[in-house]
Amino acid sequence: MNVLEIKNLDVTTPAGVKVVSGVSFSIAPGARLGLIGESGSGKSLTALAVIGLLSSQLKASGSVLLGDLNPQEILGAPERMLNTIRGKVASIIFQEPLTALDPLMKIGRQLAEPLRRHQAISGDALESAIIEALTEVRITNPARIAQSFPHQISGGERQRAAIAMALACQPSLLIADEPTTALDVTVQSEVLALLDSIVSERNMALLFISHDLAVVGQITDTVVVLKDGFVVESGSLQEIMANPKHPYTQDLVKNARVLDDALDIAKDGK
Amino acid sequence: MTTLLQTKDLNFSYRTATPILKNINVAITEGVNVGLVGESGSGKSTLLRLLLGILKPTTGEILFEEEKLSLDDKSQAKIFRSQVQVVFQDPYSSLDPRQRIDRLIAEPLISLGLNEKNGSDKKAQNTWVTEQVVSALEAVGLSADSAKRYPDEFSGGQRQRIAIARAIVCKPRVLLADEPVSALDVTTRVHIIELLRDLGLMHNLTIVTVSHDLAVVASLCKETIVLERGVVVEQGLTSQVLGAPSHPYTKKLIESLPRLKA
Repeated sequence: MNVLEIKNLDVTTPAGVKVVSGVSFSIAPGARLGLIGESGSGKSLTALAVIGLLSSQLKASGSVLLGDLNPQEILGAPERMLNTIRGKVASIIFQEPLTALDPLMKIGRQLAEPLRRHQAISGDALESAIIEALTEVRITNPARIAQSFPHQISGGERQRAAIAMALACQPSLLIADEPTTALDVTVQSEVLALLDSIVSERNMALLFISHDLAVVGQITDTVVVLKDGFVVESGSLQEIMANPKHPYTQDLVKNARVLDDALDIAKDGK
Repeated sequence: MTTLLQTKDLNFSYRTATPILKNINVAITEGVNVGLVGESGSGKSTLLRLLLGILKPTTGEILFEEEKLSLDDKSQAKIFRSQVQVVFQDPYSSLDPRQRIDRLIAEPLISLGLNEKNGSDKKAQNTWVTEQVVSALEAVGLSADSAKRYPDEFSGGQRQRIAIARAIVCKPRVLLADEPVSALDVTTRVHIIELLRDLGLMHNLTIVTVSHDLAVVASLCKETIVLERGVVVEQGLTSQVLGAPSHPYTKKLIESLPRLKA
């Protein structure tokens, strides 16, 4: 059984424009999938549809089944049901941790919410669970971070805190929507390494969304390429890099190589 | 070769806060594109703003064509403004949505009074301005009929081309660019880098670009300056900085780069 099964997902705007068209893919428990696409490809809308967070203005049809033991249909599900799924079955981290976190709440308190709900703990047990959760995402000074507001800590620390919150209810699927795009390259490489090891340790499934082929390549070799809401190619990243079939993927791979090669050419002193 | 812009023992801080740039000595030579590299908070954009003359050094000075830059000197300011132009990161916020493209691009010509020098009467001036706008549009690969349209009719990459057209319309010698391709998709990114490189060669334009992306700098710049927390930790030929980095910070930056698998 798959932890996520998307069949023929369509997302339509109020004006009748299809922004996601007939997208189908699935993820097995513990497996990883990279969703590659550029601006307007529909990758983020697909992610939001999976976790039932699409704006009510948008109409979604098709099927999104979430959960491996007891798969539930997400499209059209009532909020009450979605609340039992979010966090426990699947959770999401976004590109910009500054907007994902509540600016008026200390990190520790934000993290306490899902921990309390999931593990039904309070008091000292909750305090130590918070510290433990922050330690797991390799925050060096967890006690200080727990006492800080989001604006008082660095971008990398904020994204780690957001990851800790996403992991708090031990979901079987983590959705990461461009999780490192807003970060500096050195921080990006640390956060990618963190995601990689945590997902392995917990044997979680991962849906990793990015526009950057090199970044996706650090995390997984299985990818789906989206363009204007359609799946244009899917399979092994290595195979797609070597032999892209769709004209769009050919362009994407070619230009990613141009930039990547520029580094080597410059090193050799053009 | 002429030194177009230079900083001498430049320091910058906002009021009494901790200094943002410390003891910066860099030089921009005609025909040599330079990349300013560093992470968030390194001071790279602040340095670009100082070079652009929209911030004043707290101590130290900036030389423009080997003379001290003082924007209070109106005649020097006018020459400086026409010779040093800028392109910003986000073409969605750098173009006024209520102005047509021709007006947007013509703005530097009019605000610098260049139209008055190039036409005896209003009509001749307008004709000259229109010619300049059309040739700037052509230089960035946009058709002349774009002139009558509004920014929202263009894609992100096209908007960045428009921003570049506006920057080069007064034929500057230096183009300062702050993360000019960061907001763009990979394919568009490559096209805009090619455009900047070609413009540099064909229009005798020296490009100074701030970027967090070493691939952009590698594609475009002969020299690289690496900033870390307001200090220049390494500068020199891009080939040297990338190929044989000497400072630990530069090494870490290069090691952290996600690379395509073969």
